[in-house]
Amino acid sequence: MAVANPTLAFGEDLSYARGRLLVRLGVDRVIGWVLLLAFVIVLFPLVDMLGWIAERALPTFTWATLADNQIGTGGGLHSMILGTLLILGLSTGIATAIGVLAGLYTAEFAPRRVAEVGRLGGYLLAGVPAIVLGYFGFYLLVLYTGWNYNTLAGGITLGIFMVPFIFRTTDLAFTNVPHDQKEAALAMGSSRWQYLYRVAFPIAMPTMLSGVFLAMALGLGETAPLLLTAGWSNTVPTNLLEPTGYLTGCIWNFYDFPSTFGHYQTLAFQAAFLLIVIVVILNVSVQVIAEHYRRKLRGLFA
Amino acid sequence: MTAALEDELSYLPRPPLPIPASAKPRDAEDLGKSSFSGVHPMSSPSPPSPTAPPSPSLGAGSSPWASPATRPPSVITVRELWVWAGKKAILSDINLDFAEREVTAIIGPSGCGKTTLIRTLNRMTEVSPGLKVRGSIQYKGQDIYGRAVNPVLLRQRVGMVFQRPTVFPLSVFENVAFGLRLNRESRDVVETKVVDSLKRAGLYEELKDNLHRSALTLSGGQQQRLCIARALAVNPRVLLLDEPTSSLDPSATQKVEDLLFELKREYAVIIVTHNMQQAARVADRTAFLYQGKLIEVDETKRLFENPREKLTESYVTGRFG
Ligand SMILES: Nc1ncnc2c1ncn2[C@@H]1O[C@H](COP(=O)(O)OP(=O)(O)O)[C@@H](O)[C@H]1O
Ligand SMILES: [Mg+2]
Repeated sequence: MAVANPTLAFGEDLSYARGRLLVRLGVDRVIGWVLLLAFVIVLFPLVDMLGWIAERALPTFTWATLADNQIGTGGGLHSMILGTLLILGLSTGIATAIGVLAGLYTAEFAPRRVAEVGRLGGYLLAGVPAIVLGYFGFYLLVLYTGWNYNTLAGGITLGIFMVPFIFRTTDLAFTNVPHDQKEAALAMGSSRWQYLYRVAFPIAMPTMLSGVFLAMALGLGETAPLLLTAGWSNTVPTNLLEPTGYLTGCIWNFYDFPSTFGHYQTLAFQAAFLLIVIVVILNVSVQVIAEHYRRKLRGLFA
Repeated sequence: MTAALEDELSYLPRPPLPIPASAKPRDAEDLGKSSFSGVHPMSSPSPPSPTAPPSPSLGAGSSPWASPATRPPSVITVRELWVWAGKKAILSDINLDFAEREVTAIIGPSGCGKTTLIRTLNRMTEVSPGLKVRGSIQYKGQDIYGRAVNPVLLRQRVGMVFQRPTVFPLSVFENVAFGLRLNRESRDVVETKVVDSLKRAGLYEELKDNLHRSALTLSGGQQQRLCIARALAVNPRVLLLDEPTSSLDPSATQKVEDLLFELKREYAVIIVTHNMQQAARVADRTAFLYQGKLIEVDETKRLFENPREKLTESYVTGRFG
């Protein structure tokens, strides 16, 4: 420990005054503990929840869980897995097409005022509660069309839910392309489209892809808009205008069955387990993509 | 095509286009393209400057701004050029000739309009919103702001290198191939021209072992020379360089300057610099710009040692800047 050194002239001693040093060391240590505690509090529910779900989902998780439709009090999640993938595929396709084009428009083509209004609109749409979107989808795509509950309505409604996220990341991705790159491309004789296609798009790609994956992860977890549009079924739909099952709906339908119908609750836990697995895969993909491109584009944003 | 250009003749006579019969279309000097129909503000017939249009006898080579007959022919001729940002004149009444196989330096204090001047020469001013360009700029006798001029062809003939190296996030090879791919050149042509351009830019020996590494991994100096190679690949006649060494260390600067000496054998080189030693080292002619006005242009030695204007003298002797 530092101690005032009497051989030094006044003003040359660089050590702390005695009491101050102890206080400083103590403060450092306490702050360290508080931060660690906060970290544990964040992680604990995640780990605990995963354990709680796995404990109930895994012991009876077999091939049949994936391959069988749910019948009576038995069966598996087959139709719900396919329904989820079907709805997610539809909604991702719709939301990507619209979101990417809209983001490209605000970032590259729209006059500044129009772009700002567009961005504001995106924020507002992102803030609309999912159940309100569901109600809108129900009114427009279920009642008004006379199609009744159907898979397509679920896909479109979920697509509308996902659009603002993809729109925002695309807009951001293109506005973040360094202006230098545009000047250089135009000075080489590129047209605006050639610049977008050959220079801006590859740079914006990783951000856009992350946006799409994150929107998928968010959409995957939504229940309310689907209950109001895709309805429910425990068989695989033969066409898009039939209702379908989906994993979130399985939890919603079966979570509160009394334990005398134990298998229903198990199905709900297994659906929850699958949802988590898919979300983890999506999120890990985002990280892998981001890291890959971060290396590749290092130096570009300097 | 030539007729369309002829229609656009603003107020200067110009000689017929020298197109060699053997030249392929994209190598030809004719910048016109029949499909191009953009209308540029510059096609407005009346120049905003109060001065009368120059007399018809005022062609390249005979102008008071060009030096005696010993000079190589002029490739770019600037006459009564004004650039406006709103009500503010960024460039006022610039008259300047740039000759083939010469290095011309443009010097002047920062903010005097050097960058703007060279950006007018390949119509990059159109990319910055809010700039109005008036006057006449001719490339080999063609008004580059004419209605029939295709800016894509213009920008490939008049290449540009920026202050900060701006490589694309592609491989070294693909960076140089960029303009060739835009022109849909065949694979063999791309291959040969990429190697040739890298050699001209003095990069081939350094990089030949791995042309497919990312250009972003190169040093700043290498990146800047890669930008030069990229511009050379599409067969330019003129190279515009905007303070190309201001972000480089002395040894990288040295390499770029050496390269300029090589390049001027074939190209007209126009370099903006606010480093007067650099201008003195590399340029045959130097133009001094001050507050948007061309104060003086002359052979470099003369401009530095025996300037005609008081203002030039105080600038080159470092009394302001
Ligand atoms: N797009 C623009 N809009 C408005 N003013 C501009 C624009 N570009 C340049 N200027 C102004 O023109 C002047 C000359 O700029 P510039 O050509 O970049 O000078 P230099 O390269 O000599 O430093 C500066 O005062 C600058 O602010
Ligand atoms: Mg400048």
